[in-house]
Amino acid sequence: MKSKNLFLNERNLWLLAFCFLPCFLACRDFQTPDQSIHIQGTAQYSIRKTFRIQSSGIFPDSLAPIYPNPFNHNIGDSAETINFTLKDTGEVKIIIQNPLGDSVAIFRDSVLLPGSFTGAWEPVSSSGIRLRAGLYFITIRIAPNDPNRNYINSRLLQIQSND
Amino acid sequence: MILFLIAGVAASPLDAQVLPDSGKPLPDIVLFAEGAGFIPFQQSYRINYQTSLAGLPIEIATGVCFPVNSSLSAMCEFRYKRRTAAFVSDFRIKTLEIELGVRDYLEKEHEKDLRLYGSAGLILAKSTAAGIINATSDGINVIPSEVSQDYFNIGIALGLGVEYALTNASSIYLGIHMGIYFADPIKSGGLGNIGGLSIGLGYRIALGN
Repeated sequence: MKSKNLFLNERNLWLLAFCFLPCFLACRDFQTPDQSIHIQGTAQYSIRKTFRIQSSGIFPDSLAPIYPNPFNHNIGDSAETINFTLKDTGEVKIIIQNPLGDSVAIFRDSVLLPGSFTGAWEPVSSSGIRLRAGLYFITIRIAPNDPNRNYINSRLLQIQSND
Repeated sequence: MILFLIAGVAASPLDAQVLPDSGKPLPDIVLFAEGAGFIPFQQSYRINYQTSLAGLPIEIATGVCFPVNSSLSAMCEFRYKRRTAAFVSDFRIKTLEIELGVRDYLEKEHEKDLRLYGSAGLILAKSTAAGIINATSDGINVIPSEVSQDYFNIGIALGLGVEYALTNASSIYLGIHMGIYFADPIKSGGLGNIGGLSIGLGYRIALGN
């Protein structure tokens, strides 16, 4: 005795295939890692130039260890200090990212002269939400549009408490 | 998967013999284990991380089903993945998911034929991100320190696949598992939707009766 398989037939299998095809295409990775930083929104922070050297090339492009790290609001930490240096005039962008690389806060592009700079950042997101305890990457991008320079560096920050 | 489905068409004659459900005792439990590839939905998780478990790009899942009738089973599944960052060294995220749900055969069993099944459930996930920070209180005295942080999330899962019986008590299956998370938003510093598609090959064995 034979019976027809009503569900597992050719038409339904093709339907299944076409349902999943868009999912696969959407998940294909066509981008390079350098394009993976999501940049959106803005956040306010203060930047203070500690001193300035007129001649370029004295400092390299660099991001110093941020501090305090770990950050703990309960023991009196109020802001993160971000020190960086520029070897030449250039655009600077600082991005706060969650562990996946999604930006939770981003500082506006600034064109800065060569020298050493200090930024202070209270751990809040672009939308003003106080960031919860967790791990974050503080990423600096210098001269992103200059292929010969295009410096990028990240520091890992742990926020233990921010209540 | 698409190729498999197409192959499934060829391998599944439309006039396959339907096996009678009556008189076939239900097993007490069904154990299963699976290895799967994982494709995250979130772009950043997809591009900046790669799955790496003991050097292999797979995640593993195991669990147990409690048959309710010849078609439906209650299911408890554990799914574990380890993903390492591609943009910085020594940083990884381990995720353990617990899924509570149901698994249902969407068609009757046919002799020597694939059998379509679906599943749905609630997933709870604990992700642990770990890396090395430059611990310092003044920016001068720096001590490299290993740190980790737990992230918790809730989501839903859907599954679809085909199963092929090897014996009366065992079978292999090929399935797609989709997880979607919604309880840990990025804007407050969370990981967001860490779910994705898992395409896996597994083995099931029935125990009891």
